[in-house]
Amino acid sequence: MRKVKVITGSQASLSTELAKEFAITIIPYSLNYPDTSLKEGVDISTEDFYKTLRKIDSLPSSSPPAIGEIINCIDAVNKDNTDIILITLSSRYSQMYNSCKSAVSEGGYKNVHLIDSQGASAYQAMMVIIVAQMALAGKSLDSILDCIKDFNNRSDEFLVFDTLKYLAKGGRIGKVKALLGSMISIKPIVVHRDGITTPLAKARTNKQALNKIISEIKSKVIDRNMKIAVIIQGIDVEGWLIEVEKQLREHFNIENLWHSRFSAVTSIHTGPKVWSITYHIL
Amino acid sequence: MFVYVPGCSFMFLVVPCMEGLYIMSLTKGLTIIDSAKYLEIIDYTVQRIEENFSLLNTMNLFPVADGDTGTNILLTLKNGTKSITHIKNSELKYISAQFYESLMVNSRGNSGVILAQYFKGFHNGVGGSQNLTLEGLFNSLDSAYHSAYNAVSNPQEGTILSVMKVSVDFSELKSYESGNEALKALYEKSCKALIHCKNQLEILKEAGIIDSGAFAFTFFIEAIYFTLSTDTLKNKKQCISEWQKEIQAYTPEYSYQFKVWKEKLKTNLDPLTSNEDLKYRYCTEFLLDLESTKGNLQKELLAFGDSLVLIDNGSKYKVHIHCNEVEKLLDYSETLGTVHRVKVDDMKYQHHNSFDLDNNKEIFSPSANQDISILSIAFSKGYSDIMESLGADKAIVAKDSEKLNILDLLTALSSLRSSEVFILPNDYSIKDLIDKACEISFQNTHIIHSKTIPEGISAIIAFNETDNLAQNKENMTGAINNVKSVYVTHGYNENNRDAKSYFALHNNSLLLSGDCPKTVLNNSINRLIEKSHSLITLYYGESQTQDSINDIMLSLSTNYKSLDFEFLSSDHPDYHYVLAIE
Repeated sequence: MRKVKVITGSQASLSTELAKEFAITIIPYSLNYPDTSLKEGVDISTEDFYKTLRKIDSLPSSSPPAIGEIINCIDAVNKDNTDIILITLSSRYSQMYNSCKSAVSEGGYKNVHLIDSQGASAYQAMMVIIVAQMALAGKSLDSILDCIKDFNNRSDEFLVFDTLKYLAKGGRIGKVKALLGSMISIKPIVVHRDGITTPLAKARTNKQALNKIISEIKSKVIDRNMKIAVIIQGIDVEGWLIEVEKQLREHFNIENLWHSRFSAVTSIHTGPKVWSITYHIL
Repeated sequence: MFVYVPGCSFMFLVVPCMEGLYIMSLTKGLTIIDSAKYLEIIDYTVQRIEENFSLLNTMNLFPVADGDTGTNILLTLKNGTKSITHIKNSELKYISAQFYESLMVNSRGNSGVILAQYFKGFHNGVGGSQNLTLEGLFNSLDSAYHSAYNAVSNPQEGTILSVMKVSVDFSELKSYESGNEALKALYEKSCKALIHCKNQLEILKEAGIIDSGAFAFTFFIEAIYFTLSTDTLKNKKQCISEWQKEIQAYTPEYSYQFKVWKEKLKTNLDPLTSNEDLKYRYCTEFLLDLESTKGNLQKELLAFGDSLVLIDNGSKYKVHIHCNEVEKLLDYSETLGTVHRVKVDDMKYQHHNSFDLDNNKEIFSPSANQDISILSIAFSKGYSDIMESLGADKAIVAKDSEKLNILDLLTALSSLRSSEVFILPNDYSIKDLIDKACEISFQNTHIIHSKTIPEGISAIIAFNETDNLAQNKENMTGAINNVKSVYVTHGYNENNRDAKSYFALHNNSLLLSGDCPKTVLNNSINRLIEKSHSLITLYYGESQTQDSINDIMLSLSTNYKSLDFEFLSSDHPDYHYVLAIE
């Protein structure tokens, strides 16, 4: 029986623990400072990076791995009787998908399946984990690819921002632009649609945002017969995430709840105090 | 007898007659315009104007340099074409009628209204015909010109009217050997007239450019020439391109004189008083359905302002006028019949905007993709700033509900370029005024019934541009239902004139009172708070000292530890505190 291996970029919201648990291979992104370049997760830990987030003007830029590095990563797990699923973030956010495409064609691989998740952050991570789970359970390649095809209908990530400054600076603001100058504190709730950040609604407080997200999920997850997997994560909001978990467990039948974390690369675009809830109908 | 001339694409019919032999091309008697051709001509015109609308806007100097001639003409014609594409298989007379009627209702600006009347005249020329011959065409153009000329109260040479005048009149027709030559002559004459207009109008003379309305109109003549002439594509394109080059020399980018004039204007231009030339400030348009015939309507209306263009379709009139006393004009018009589709542009504001000399920005681009705008009423600048920062497209500041007038509402509505507008009254007592403005305005207005400022602000926050009209209405109304508002103001005790009392108003009635704001605020929250509430926003007015504000902030956050608070300045003179509980 052929084995399936899963690879993704370090920019996905996958904690090292989760990556290990599900045997996911990570290709590191680079954080580029004026005088040096650090590999995320290798040269600097994500937690250490968060500490530098407040100084918005001295943040590095980020870049996806070079084609050569992608090839090396693929080669490292490419054994006989193996199929490889390489999942990237939306091609509208970054060059990564194109780089992977080039890597696959240059390497001449016949057994690498390149997938554009059409999302990022924990949405992407959810896809990666679910796929890796299936791979570890020995599911066939075809059933895994079918699951991926249907993924969009069964999953969503809701991100709640504390500030839009970082998103605007990084240029990934998409359709959320309108709120930049707001004089009242607003917590924008944002989702991935057609591969870009799109506003879903606005809340005034985290509590309101959570209520809104729960009612949105309820419109798809109709009753407790539907089991879901959930990822929650946030930057500098540990206390709040406890409340989030409590509420989610009250309202839904959760089979797996994973605590993950935003990657350093993603955090450059979100800033601190951001949090997100991702669900997937099993 | 028929004569075949080698090398020529026509047959010539030689007709003996009293004046002697003269040659008349076969094509002259043939149909050249049917419904399909009419549509083709209009489509071509719209396309050319669309290519150039931004240039037309920058060239707009007469009668008022408000930078919107291109936009107005484009939108007027586009709305017109929308109304005829679905009836393209009808007879010519129906299409030309529908076209001008649609122009009349949808026309924008001075040029738009003139064009509406022009096409009405054209339709009169068509009469009951199924098709037009070449003669029929020139007849219609002539009738169109006279119709437009008669509608303008103060017709000027050097404007769109001068180019309209240039239709080949009957006596000249005979001198042309073929219909193609006649059409080419028509086009060339129009271009010449266009270039000549820079010598005819004072402002154009100074600025060294041609009139934008006239320029836009020549695209219609170009459409006629290009669509109807059976000359080769190469020849037609060449002719057009040569004339366009000549015309180009008198457009802002290529006219040296314009650049000099613009520089001079820049140094003399004080943004606040640039409009000293504006004798009449408001560009007002509306439809008037007369109940009975009115003697000299034109004279009566001229008492209010100038630049009057009055066109009619039976008892339905379209009025376009520049005036100052808009309310008086509308009141007067209402004594004559029904007033509707009102649009009022404040030209003082537009005039200033059009001279965005540094950026050459496109002003009021018609392709801006905004379907829904939000208009919100605010009672201080503090509130209007907050509302606009949250996404209200326009927040009108009215000191109190009595100071708000219909002129403010109409100009605000007209400045919003979307077809749908959400209005947030944010008050209990301005319903009648808002209803009135909505009734007569030309846009599709939807009143979202916010009765207080907090309700309005919550509604604006609930708006999402990616949702549709119905969804947004639902969400905004839902947000209003979820917020409780309290206004804290002060008054004097009936019994003891020296004792100040603070009153808390909720749902337009007195909730409670006390001798200091802190007590009143705490008690109000106590009275209204429910388990589902999690956030209180407090807006403080301009008369409160920083100390008392700090004191209250501390008191509230201590007393209500489980709630989130936000404190914001509103600048309002009378409402010392406004609470939003949600």
